[in-house]
Amino acid sequence: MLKVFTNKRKPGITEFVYFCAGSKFLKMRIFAIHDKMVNLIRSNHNLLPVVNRFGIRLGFRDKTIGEICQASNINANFFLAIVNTYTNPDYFPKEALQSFSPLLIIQYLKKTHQYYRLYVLPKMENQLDQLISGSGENQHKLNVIDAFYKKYKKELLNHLDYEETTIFPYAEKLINNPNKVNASYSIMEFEKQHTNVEVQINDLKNLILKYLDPVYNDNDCNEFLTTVFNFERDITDHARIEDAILIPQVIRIEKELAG
Amino acid sequence: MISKLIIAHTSEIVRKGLLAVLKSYFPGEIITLSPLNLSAIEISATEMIVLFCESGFGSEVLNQKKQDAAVLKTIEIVNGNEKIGEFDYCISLASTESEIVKILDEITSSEKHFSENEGDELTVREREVLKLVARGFSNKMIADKLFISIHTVISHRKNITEKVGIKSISGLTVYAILNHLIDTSEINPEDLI
Repeated sequence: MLKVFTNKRKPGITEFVYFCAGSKFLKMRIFAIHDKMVNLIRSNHNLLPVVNRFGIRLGFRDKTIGEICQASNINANFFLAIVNTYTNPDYFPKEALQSFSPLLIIQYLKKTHQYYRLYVLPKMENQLDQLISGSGENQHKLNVIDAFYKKYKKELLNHLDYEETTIFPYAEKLINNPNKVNASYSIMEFEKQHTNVEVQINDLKNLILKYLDPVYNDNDCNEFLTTVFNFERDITDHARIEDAILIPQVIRIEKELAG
Repeated sequence: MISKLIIAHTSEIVRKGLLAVLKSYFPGEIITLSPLNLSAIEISATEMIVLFCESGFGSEVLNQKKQDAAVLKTIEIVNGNEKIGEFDYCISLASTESEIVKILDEITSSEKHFSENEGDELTVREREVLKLVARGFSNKMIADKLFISIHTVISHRKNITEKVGIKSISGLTVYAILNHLIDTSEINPEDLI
């Protein structure tokens, strides 16, 4: 049974969503517009890169999420939908998310790609290089893993390119210039090429965790794995937004245009 | 052999109804709960679980549980007719008792190997299949080489993935190399991957 408890002393402040059956409770904290931005980050600091994608930067003082969004011309409801679904993988209000303009979603996805290309991938690569060069004799095994990583990186970048050069412009055109869209194309054509990049990052993680020989620097390895874990979480959320929100939205628009 | 059944549905009536049907067929433990509490359930790596789950709930939790269990088969409980999520099977509120039991039979017979193999130690056959997968052979070519059916090849590949926790072909290739299943003295491993 789902019960939603709000704090009556402070109306409009954070909702705790309780799921209960018998005596067991599972608590999800869903942030709302009157919550302080600083508390959002305190509850999940992994959101820092996520809020950066909206152009939000530090020095929050005691401002609320609503105030900061308004000052930066950001759709607060969209911001909340993104950060709440990112923090709670089981929370995914599809219909609410699909009600936002695809253009907003694409803008967010593009910023995420930038973060991956310019920061995460180079960092992962540096950390892997560091791990390999610090391991001396164990080079052979790690070289194989390095080869796997390079292959994965190539496929991932192709996937990101494909979205940026094909899927996103197509969706934008459907909304801004529907008359100029070729009626015989469909997003389903694009979907056929959707590669499962999350599978490979999970494999990379498991290969190292399960099958690496203990001849390596612990800290170097942990740093690399931490980056992989964080990236996996981020890209899984990213893929979920693309697959469950953007693609269905585009399909709906295509249907509407077809009449 | 199935270790336990889990019924995850928000409706108490559906839970009780399914429980009544399954109890006379399955002698082991049957857990009923709301799907929102799924993450609290603990599953060990030696267990084979069959989970009946209501449409629209916690795909993230299910994926996590899939990784915890030795084998997790999922059955979606839908309202209409169509399978919506990424589940192994699907039943609806209009399904009959015999349809549901048929699915359990299918799962049991397809996982017959389960009690025979433990941990991630691959059988001889599985290693043979893995080596060929790593060398880039297609399912058909593997079937021909080993004189087995394609269906059997696919079954072996599924088992291999479940045991080693690696899904992609290049990942399996790396596994094979790291565990000395492939002779890399003459081949450059990097080319294989």
